[in-house]
Amino acid sequence: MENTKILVTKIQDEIKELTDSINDVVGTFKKMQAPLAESQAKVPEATQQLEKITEQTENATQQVIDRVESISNISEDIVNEIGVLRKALPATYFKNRSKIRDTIGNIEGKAQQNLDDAFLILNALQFQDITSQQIHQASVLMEEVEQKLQNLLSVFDGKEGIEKIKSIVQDKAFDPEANFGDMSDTQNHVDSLVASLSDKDEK
Amino acid sequence: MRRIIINTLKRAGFNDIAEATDGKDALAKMQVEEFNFVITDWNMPEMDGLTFVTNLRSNKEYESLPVLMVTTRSVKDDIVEAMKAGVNSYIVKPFTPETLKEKIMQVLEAK
Repeated sequence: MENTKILVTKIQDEIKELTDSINDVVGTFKKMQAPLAESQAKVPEATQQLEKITEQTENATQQVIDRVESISNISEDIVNEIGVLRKALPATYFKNRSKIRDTIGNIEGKAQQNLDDAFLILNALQFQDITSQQIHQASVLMEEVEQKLQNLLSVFDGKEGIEKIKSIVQDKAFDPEANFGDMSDTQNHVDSLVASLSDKDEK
Repeated sequence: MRRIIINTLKRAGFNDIAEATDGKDALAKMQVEEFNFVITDWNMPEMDGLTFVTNLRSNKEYESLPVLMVTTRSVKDDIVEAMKAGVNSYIVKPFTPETLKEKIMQVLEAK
């Protein structure tokens, strides 16, 4: 009888301890809920900010392309006009006036240099296509975090089922692995692969 | 990217160029105009490059039309998938103008 009393008391103490522990855990969860909800609310703002960066760099890149095309067209016109000038003036004119000949040659060379530089600038602008894909991928990761926070908060609130967050990048077409750099080695590797696949097809 | 490719093509001497926003748009344009070379990206809205090429190859008229894919994707499985869909050659972005011209010439010569 005495033993049973002792055992009951022990069990009661254990249950009280367990209840206290559960209350502590629930209290901790409740404390966590507010910062989690705050974080979850901030994620869409960050995602939108990332997408805004993409949009703005795309617009800026388009403007740079406009200017580069304009410089290219003007430089091409200069080269063409000099060609017209060369044809219009007699050959002896250039022979006897080396200063004029050299000056015309210099202008032509500089216009050609402008054309080449403009073309290099244009090609360097490929970075925007690739960085925008990288930013889209960052947005996707942010939205995944947002969804996980949403799921966690649903559990705290005792809600049934999963509430899907509203994605702003799900319809975007991009490569999550997009990378910017010297791709010559990659291109060589791709070429070998394409060649081997083409050989297989022929056989 | 389209504008960069168009400028690169023009500089290489290809002047008769039409552009499309995605695969759907390209297929629509191909019904009213005749083309002898196609350059496509993989990632496009509405209809991606892979679906576009698959659609293209399903039409007898375009069975042997040269297709070059320009994309950031360089994983083996992706390349295999693109080749299976009917892509003739494959360029990884960022590309050099020389690479683009070289690949176009290769595809045209192999035709």
